[in-house]
Amino acid sequence: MSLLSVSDLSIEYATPQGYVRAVDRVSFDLDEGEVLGIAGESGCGKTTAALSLLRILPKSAKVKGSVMFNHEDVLTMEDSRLRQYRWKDVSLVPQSSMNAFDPVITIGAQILEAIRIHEKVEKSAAWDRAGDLLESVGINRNRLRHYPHEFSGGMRQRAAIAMALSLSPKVVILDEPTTALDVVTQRQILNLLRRLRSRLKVSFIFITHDLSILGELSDRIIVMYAGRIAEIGKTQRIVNSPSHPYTKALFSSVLPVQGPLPVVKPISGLPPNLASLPSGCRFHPRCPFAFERCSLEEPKLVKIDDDTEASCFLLER
Amino acid sequence: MGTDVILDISELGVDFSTPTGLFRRSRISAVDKVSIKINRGESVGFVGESGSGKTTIARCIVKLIEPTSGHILFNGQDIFEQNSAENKEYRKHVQMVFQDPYESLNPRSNISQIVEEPLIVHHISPDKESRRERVYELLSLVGLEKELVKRYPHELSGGQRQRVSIARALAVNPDVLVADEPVSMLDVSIRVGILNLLKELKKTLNLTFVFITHDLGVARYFCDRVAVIYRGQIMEVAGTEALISETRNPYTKLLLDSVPGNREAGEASAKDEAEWADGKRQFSDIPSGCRFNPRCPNAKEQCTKVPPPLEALGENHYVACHYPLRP
Repeated sequence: MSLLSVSDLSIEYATPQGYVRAVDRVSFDLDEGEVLGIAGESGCGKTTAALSLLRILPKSAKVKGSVMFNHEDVLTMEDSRLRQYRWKDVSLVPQSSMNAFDPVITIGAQILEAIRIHEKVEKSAAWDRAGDLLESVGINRNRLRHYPHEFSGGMRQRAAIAMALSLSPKVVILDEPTTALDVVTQRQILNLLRRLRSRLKVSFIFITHDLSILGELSDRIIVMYAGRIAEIGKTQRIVNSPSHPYTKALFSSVLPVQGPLPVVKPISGLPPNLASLPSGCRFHPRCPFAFERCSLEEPKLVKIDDDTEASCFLLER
Repeated sequence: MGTDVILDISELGVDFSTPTGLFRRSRISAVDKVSIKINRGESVGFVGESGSGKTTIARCIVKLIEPTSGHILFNGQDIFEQNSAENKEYRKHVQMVFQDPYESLNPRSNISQIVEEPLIVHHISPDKESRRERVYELLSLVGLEKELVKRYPHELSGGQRQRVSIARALAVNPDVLVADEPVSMLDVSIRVGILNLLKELKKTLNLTFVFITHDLGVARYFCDRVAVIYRGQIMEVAGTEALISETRNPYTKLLLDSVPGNREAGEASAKDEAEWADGKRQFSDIPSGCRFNPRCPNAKEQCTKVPPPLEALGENHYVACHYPLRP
């Protein structure tokens, strides 16, 4: 059974150039204990889609479609329920959260605050829990009394993850959690997430522009392009034989350290301006396989196998 | 060789002083006795984690930091003993491309003004007309359309901004480009485009590159030779392919294993993580012996006592390790 179910989600922002659709008719499910990766270039709507699951988009955003959490409609939740839902049911590790700690408050006090806002617990009990949380992300509990600047970047990122876990949520959304980190620290965060997931039965939504990370961590991958889903499916399948030309292009721009150096090609051009989308398939101006139909009609998601869908005319039939 | 060497870094040391109490300050050695010769037309990568000192070395080369000890010779001349005319001349020869294209371009200047500024500062093109021509020429060199000249940095994508920084650096016809993580802030999909551009420029303009990165995949794609830096010291230097296929230093191996896609690496870095966990490791205390020994899976007694010298273990392959790995 799916824990979180998104269907036909569209999100528009009001801009001086009119309404801009950052997310367009996106549907997906998240199962219990699953790691779902969302990949795509900057400006493809990954973050907007994820933030809408928590209803923390700016007021100018118009959200259509439905987001169901355990059969409960998130988009019509009452404020009091929403406050519980955020953090207790679904929590977020926002982009560059390692720089989001208050510099003049100790890490422990910041985790404590998050716990006590949501639950009636004694200070000492909450403090103990904060210590356990730090230890669960591999940081000694005596660091609770330290200030953010005394932590390295990787440790702050771990602390941000600990904070997101503080109310034992069922889903944690991680927005580019390793992007600003060096490879060694990135490796540690990935190992940490893998351990947490097997221990806590928590689901992760992992947003990144780097597909090579998802290959290791996620069960399923959604590849987004210009607000739409280009391809969705099991990680193994997408990593080993990507179907959509955009997914292929994303993989071919990864620079490997081992094995023979393949011909690496950048994706020509840029993701389109959402205010003036190309006609037909949104990827066609950059697609090496584009033909006439691509500029006229918009492709729908087609089934490739039981778990995989992609939106490309070349895959039809 | 001799005349080929364009930058000769010898025994470079940089100490920073940081407050450790209200009135007390302690000295941290960020770079310690780094020596490397860089040949004309070569691209040398400095690879290491955050805080390894790789950026500090780069900043010394472009004279943003004065080293505490050691020398850097540019074409045989010590760059820290130049008079002001020589200094200005040096800055024409060596230019830098910074990591963050979102912060290294003045938001109030348009692209034309940004690329033109070095031409004015260095009195390269005296009249406006020739400067404009040169700006167009530079933009086309980095693959940007000249329609962009009136735009401001916030109107450009990350990749376009980084191209503008490159155009600005090239304005003075430098011999050496020092690139500090030039692609790490960019989407994976456009990194290759920037790297291909730099490769192309290297060939057509015969540029020498000092290339700072933490990503061995990027280093492999771009660099002829790589120096692996750990806590201010060179751990291993070799031709890029030799460094990757015949890794001799355990630290280099840790870096290689950390790259996404190497699942087994989970185990390799387990010890390393345990070390991190107690958070006792302080940046300021430098372990005795080999600096990597507390994290090294192969550390033995000698490693905790005697710092290993950088020794040749093959042709152009230098390693600082008492117990180098078998390739």
